[in-house]
Amino acid sequence: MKFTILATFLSIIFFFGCSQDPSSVGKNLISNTDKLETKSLTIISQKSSSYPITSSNNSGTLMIGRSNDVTAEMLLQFGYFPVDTAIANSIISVKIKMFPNYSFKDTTGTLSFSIHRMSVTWNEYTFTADSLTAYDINPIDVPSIAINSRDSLIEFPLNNSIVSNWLKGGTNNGIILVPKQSSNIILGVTSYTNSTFDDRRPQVIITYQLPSDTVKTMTLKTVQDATIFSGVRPTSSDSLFYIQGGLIERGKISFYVDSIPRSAAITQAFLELKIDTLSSIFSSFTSKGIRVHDILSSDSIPRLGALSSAAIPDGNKYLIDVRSLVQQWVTGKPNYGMALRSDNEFEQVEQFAVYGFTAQAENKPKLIIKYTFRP
Amino acid sequence: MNTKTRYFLLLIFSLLFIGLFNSLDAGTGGSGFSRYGLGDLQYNRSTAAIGMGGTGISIVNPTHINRLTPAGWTNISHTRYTIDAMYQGFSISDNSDKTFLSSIVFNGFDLAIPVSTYNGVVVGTGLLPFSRVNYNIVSQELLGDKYYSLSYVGEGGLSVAHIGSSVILFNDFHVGAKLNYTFGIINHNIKQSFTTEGYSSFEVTRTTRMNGLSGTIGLIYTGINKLNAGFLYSTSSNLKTEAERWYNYMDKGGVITRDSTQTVADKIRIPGAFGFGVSYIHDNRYQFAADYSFRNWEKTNISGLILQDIKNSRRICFGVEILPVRTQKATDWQKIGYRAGFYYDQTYYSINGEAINETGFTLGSDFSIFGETRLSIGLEYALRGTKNLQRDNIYKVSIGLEGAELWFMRPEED
Repeated sequence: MKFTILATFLSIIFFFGCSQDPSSVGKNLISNTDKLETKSLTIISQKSSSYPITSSNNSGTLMIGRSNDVTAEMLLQFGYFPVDTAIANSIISVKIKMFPNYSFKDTTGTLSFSIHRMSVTWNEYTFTADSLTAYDINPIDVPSIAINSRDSLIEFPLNNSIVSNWLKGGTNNGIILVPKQSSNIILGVTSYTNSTFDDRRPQVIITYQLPSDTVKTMTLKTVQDATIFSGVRPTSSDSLFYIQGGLIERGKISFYVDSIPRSAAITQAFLELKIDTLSSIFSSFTSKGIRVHDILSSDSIPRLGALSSAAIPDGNKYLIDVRSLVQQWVTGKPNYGMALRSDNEFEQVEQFAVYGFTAQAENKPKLIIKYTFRP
Repeated sequence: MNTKTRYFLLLIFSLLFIGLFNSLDAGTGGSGFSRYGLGDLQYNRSTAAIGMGGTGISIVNPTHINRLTPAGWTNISHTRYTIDAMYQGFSISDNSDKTFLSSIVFNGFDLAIPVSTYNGVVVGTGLLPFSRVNYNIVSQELLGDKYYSLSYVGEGGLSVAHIGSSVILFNDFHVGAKLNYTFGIINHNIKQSFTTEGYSSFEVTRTTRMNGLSGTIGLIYTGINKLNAGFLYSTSSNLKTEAERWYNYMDKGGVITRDSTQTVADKIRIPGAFGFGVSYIHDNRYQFAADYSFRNWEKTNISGLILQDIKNSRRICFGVEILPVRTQKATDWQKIGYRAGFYYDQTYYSINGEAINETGFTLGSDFSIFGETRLSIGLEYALRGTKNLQRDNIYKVSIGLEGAELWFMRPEED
């Protein structure tokens, strides 16, 4: 009997134990001080500028050429050469083969350059324009090529003697391709190795014939490469500043967000930028993307944080999602502003002319913010 | 398998199953009223006392440990322990919607050790709930043309650990006192969640830790034939509090950043309370009891907690118990108690100027499951709130396991 009572009793608990999902019942009890309010806010930039970057460039695109006051020199080191005097003495011809993936500004142009022997060792991961101290002033070759970057392949000859020397065990510091004034295009070629089946690095192809043998070829690929940019940087002003790839220029914008309460939750925050399309220069390869980073220091060349966001333009207007950055500022992280860079600054030489903080009101950089807070 | 084992296993597995079932259910929670102040106040009642409407200020009981007043321990002749669990279901409605939320909670533990049965000296200790915060409110809100979920969730509460003693003075004065250590953590969380790409979500959790001491004294006079009169007083308690706020700002990919505000050390004061009670035993079978208790909340300080207006709390309760044989030497069937009760509670909540009152009806029973071990069952139905704000239909089912052993007592000589 008692067992039955207990079992019945527990069954009742099971029955009532089923809860429903929480709902809005009880909402009437929430006091106004605990309800969330939403506010929209537009903050105009207080300061904008640009700053130069001289960095190593071992990106997936190697470049050679001249355009828009920017010069790109290409370093190549092929290897590894076996020491084989017989082949060294039997070379018929040597050519360099490259696979285009980019050009600036146009897709066609003339690329004239001289090829020099590098006289010092170098490292692709640390090499910059400042590192370029010495190469043999006497060119090995001076090719001039009509370029169409939509072609799948570009070839040009290389003097046999330098390759012959490498095959005899001579010092191999690679070569440098220096564009001439007559060049009017910057060509980009693939340096990246996707896999052994899709290896599109620059190649040197050696054609030789040993005595009493057939004609043969030996192909060696780059073991390291780099691009060195030099030239004239665009001049920024308070009303227009430049972001550029290749010869890298980055932008820096500051906003004061002190009017937002510390406990506010940044629901949305967009950085609105407008570019001067007449002063901007783009190739047909670009998506015109601009990337925003948080800045970690007040240095003139600031350290950038891991937070970043990018956008492509709608007309001449960019709306870049910067919620994370603004939220961090609001919660007390030091606000050194945000850095702007070309989304492909190592692979492309695009130039963005961005309106600055003294531009006309409708063109000034702005933060458009929606936030919620407890009143 | 013998009967005792069946009962015991059934009880254990049932409680485990209910607990598991509830913990997996997203809908656990309680009433939104508990968002305010210290939450829903829990009057110190064992499962047996719940059956009698929560009365007990004037009851001296040899078989149940009186949680209201230590003066009620004097007749305990065996070492006794009680452990209680409570299922509470809230059928909540307002003028637009309704829902049902439930949870299972620990409802107290007591241990009473008789030191001198002749003088009624019993040492008691235990851990009892003082208040409970448990609510879960979720609504869909609109920001521009995007919906987001806004939830208010609270949990925690205060508990009281006590140690005390009782004694009989001048034959009819049963006196008891206990020292209470009140402690606990209350968490309130507000969360705004967007599922739309491009919008950030956030949550803020406010955590308040509290602890402090207080005292309780009780007096029961049993010299008027079968009528008992009791008085109870609890001192105010100054609780040291530390409050922190934690902010999480989230995107779909995870937490963007965190923030916290500094710990604020403060004090809140739980006011003193007093109560009166009378009880009467008729025909040695029927016990009637009535209590009145009062706590002076209006003259106190609980700043730092979520506040609406608060008001003084008053509680009136009545109960009756039918126990066929009120002696130790009776069969198990004769020892089964049947209880019923009623209470009216003017709670300390006053929200938007509306007083929140609660009216409840209770039933209860207890029976031996093996030896001196008894199972108490208490059922409670209460109605709380107003139509304008929120109406709670509250269902509570309490289960208490009570045991008795002869500890430290010299067995009677043959």
